[in-house]
Amino acid sequence: MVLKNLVIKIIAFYFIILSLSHLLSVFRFAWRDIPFYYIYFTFISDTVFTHSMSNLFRLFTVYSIFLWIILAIGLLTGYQLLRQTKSGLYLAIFLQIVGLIFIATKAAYSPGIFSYIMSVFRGLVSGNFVWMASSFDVLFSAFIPIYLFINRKRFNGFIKLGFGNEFLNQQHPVKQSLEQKISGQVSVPPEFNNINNPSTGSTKPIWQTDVFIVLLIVLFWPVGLILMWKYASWRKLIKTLLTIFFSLSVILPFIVAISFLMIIPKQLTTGNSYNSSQLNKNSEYEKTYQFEDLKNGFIRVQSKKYNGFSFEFPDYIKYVFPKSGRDDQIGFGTDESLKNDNLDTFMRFAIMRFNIIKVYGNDINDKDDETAIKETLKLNPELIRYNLNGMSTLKNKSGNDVLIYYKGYVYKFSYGFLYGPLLRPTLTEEENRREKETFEYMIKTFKVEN
Amino acid sequence: MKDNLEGNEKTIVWIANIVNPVLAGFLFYYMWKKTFPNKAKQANKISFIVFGVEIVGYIIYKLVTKS
Repeated sequence: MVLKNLVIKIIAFYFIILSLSHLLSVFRFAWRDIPFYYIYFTFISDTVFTHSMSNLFRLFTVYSIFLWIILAIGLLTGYQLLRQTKSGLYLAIFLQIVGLIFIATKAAYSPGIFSYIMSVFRGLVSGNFVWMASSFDVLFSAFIPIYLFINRKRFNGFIKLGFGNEFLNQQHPVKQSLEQKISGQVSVPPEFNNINNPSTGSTKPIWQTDVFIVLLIVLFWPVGLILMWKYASWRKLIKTLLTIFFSLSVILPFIVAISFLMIIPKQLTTGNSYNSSQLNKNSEYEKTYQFEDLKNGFIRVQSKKYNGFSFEFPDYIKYVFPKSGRDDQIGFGTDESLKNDNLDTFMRFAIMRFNIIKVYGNDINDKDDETAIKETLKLNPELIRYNLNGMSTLKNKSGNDVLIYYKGYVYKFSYGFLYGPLLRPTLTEEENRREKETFEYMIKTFKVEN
Repeated sequence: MKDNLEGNEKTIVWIANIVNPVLAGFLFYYMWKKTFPNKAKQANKISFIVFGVEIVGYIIYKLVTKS
């Protein structure tokens, strides 16, 4: 019986995690494969490095509203399951069906069984529920609702696990024994008791117990801290330190992010932009890029470091190297772009109108490149895929951004172009037209020599 | 009252430690250190076990993926 209880508990807790992950998978485009408890840090650090206010927006919308609601639903489901109520059973089955629908949608992107196994492992070692459960769900989740449905009658008869007071079966022997215990007739085994308050020995609801408060602090610290201050009998110093710790984890990155946002744009526009008369004068990037004036109004930029890729751009376009951000990026823009960006503190990456991004530092091959594209599509559902000059290309549905993954070679990296014409409406129509033409010309002339 | 982890406590301690062994281990240990030293030791032991397994798992994973 003890073993059975344990199995039921594990299934119930597993279900809590699984239910959450199913719904969270909807928001995977914003998740970025970062461990669960780094969620705030991830988005704020993204903001620091990309200077995109949209990340802050995501942080407040997706994670401050949806995530908390989803977590609340998931925890409620798990709690109801543990209480063995019918509502818990139905809610669990409903969530499972929703989850299976998402699994079906994900199947199209399935990278294979090995990747699933590895992501389970990565999830386990990193604490990332999404990794862990989104892989587990494919393999196991279908069995849980089936098991619950087949055993729906027995489900009513499971012994109480110590969470709450509700029983479906009013004549259940455990309820009777609890009643007898209350009336002092019999002694009840310890596993039928609620968790006792260690300090007083009196029975408390589960959410008021220290052990549950610690669990919530680990899983979902906003509620954990509230419960801690309300119910825990810990020293005030510990409570204060924990509160400060978690508060700083939110506040501090924001301060850093805002600091970066205020400082970096000035560095970029004043120190790192070059025009055609300064070709190859910047020794820092000489090993990465070589410029050649074609004397026909265009400049060719080549990179031996990256398999000799090259493309051309008009000589009235300035090129920019960011001092921070991703390695070896190069950006392009008109004079007006740079001037406008100088005034726009938060549009740091708008300067980088045409980015060539070193996407991967690890060895990759065609298959990995394909996987990377699929992963990008999963993370950014707003992107659509099409072909351009033989390249696998992802384009924003609204036409704002274009990412290009050059396919067909065995590289240690892949390329990415990013074009954001609508990021800065301050540009004139003429400016936008020139930049769009430049971007298209760069793509048209892009090639890899070896 | 017995000063041992049992039933629900044990389950919750394991789950919390699997999710975040460092934080959970710290909290459980110092929460119970004076009042329930055995529980504190057991929770601490669990957190070290989980932490060790996760580290070893991570190293194996890194070796397997060569990244």
